[in-house]
Amino acid sequence: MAATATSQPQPKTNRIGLTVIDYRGSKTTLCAGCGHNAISERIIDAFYEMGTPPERVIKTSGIGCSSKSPAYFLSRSHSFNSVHGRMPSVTTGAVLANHRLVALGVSGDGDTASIGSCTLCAAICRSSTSSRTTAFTA
Amino acid sequence: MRGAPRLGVLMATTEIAVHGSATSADRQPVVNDFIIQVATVNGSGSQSANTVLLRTIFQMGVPVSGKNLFPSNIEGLPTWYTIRASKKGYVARKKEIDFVVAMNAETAREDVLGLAPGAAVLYDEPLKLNELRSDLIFYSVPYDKIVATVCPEAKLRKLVRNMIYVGVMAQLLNLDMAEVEKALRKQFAKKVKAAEMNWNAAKAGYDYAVTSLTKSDPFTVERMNKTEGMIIVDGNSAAAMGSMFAGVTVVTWYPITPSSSLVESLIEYMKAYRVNAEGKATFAIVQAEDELAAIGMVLGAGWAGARSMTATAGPGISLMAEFAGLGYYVEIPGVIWDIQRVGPSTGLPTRTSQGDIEFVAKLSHGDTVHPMLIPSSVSECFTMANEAFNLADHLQTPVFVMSDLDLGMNNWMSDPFEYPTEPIKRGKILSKEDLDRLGGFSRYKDVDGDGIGYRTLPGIDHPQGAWFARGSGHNEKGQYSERPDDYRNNLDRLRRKFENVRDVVPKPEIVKNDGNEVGIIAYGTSHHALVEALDQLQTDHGVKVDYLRLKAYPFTAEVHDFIAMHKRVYVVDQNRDGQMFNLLKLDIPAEDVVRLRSVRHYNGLPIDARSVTDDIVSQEGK
Repeated sequence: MAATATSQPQPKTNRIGLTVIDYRGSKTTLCAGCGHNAISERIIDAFYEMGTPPERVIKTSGIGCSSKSPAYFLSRSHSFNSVHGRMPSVTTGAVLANHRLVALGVSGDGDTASIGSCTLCAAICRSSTSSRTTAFTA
Repeated sequence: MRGAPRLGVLMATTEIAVHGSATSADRQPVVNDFIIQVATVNGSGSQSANTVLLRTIFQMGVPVSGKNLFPSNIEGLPTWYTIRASKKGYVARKKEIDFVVAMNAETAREDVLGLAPGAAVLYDEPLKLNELRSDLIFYSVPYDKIVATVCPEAKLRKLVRNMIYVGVMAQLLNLDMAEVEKALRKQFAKKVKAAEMNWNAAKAGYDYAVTSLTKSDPFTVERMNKTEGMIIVDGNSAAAMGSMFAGVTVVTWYPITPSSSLVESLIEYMKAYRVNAEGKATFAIVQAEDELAAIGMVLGAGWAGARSMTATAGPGISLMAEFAGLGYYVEIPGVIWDIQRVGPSTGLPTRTSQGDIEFVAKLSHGDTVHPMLIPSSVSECFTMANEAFNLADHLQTPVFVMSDLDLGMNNWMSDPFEYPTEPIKRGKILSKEDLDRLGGFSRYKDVDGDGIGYRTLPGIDHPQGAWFARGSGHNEKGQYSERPDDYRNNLDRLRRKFENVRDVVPKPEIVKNDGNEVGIIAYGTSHHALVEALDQLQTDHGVKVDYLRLKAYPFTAEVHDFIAMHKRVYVVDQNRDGQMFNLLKLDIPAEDVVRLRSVRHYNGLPIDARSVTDDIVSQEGK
């Protein structure tokens, strides 16, 4: 076969030449077995598979365990950990400012469905009436 | 509009001060120096008639100001419009009313009973106001009969009825009807049919006055040349124009009186002038679900690199408190216009005050503090819009512009605004090339010793470009930290940064008057009453004072010096608690605090010169 015995195995890269490590974040401080850790892993996989440059992504969140999780993936992306329940408005402002950004908002049950329920619904209403689609993970 | 109207509210025109008791017979003509108060019903189209009257006097070269005292209501409650003509150029409110145009049956009795002897009253014939007093000059006008002759369509009569008093007043005050027509056609612009109908009404009023009224009041207008080249504009429109020139691209807001017209004007300007060759808007204006979301979007956009802003009033400021602290601590630029109205709570939504000064200075919990710019004129609304953005970008922090209802919603004369010549300053933003050279950066490190770190914008194409914006405790690199030294170092740097703000905010305007013992400090719209009060103090009471007009918080060195060089310094506030007086007390050396005295005006109406003069004269023991 063509491969020589001395060559190192090349790390697997995606379509823009980045490895999965380039999509990782810092070490999680959430509880062992926490669902957020699994979600963070899938986010890393997804962005790697899509070949999205991490520098084009923004991560936004509010307050709570969910909202700490942006620290645990995509450390090459800008991130904004804001105030309780207000992730949607901060995210909306950012994408209004720069349409080329890919925004990923993270919000937990309290952040989304209690203190921030009104602002989340308003963001969804605005998305449904504009050409932009905003996806949030909760 | 917040503060929905309720029936059965108690309304009062204004406080009335008694002045000269001379009767008409022994009075000399009073030229270009009087106050007209038009009492109408809200929603009756009176604003057009009042604007035409104001503009006519303005076009005749006479300095003029117009103040709308309107209820928190859409239609049906009383409203008053005050026009002041002043050959000396005074534009502040004045308590003394010289001429009442009584169009509102509901308030007519009160409007007339409150007048000083010798004042003139123009009234609707069926109201028979002349029976109320014998010491006033009355003119009766049969509006219904006149309007029927000029407006065949009965349903439109209500709308043109008010223009009749413009014609009558034009005749009584010796106004040039050609100027009335010019002002009227400007007012109705492309609405040709409406202009024609209203012009006929004005002419009919004029003709009625010629044939049926005998001039017996002393008030008259003579042409001057003091308004040549000037414009008339409200502060909110000026702020909107200034914001557009400053390069705002993201505007997020929630409507609230008296700030709404700022963003509404901005929408019109941006739609006209900020559209690219393909016809696409190069801006975004979003009416958010509430003020929390509005300022959240401002900060999201500011973080992502836009010049972003919102406009609100007291209740909205209250809702923005949490985000204001986030902006301060994460260090993100944004501009917030506070068009102050009257609190506490819903308060008087359509009246004016300077009631948010202390609250905004420290808006949010923890050791938060914000720069404030304080415009006193429409031209400063225009220039400070740009200064606010430059300051916010330079300092990487939210900047508040403290206007008020009087400035924002009323009409003011002004020299035309100058096209900004200074380039826009975006502050310390690192580019990809900078990062290639530096190999990385620490977001909150005080590299230059001014407390201001370097930031990158989201989307920067560099693997070391990202930083983590967080409202929780952080170190120089923006990493989460609860370490005591990290927290304290960060707070100390933020304090250092704020101390340096003193050097970059607009300096106060100082009027020296022979360096005597007494000084006055005022700010915002109080300035116009102060200009007049300084003359009154000197002419009527022999009190010479120096005057300092604040333009910003934190206070610059000039403010400290001014206080230190006067034995007594009166601080004029349009609020109950002397809010700027309090901020000054906290800021100056302890030994200077005894120099400060407080003058406070808080009844919902714009401050007037006589209130300031009387208060200072009384405190001076004169």
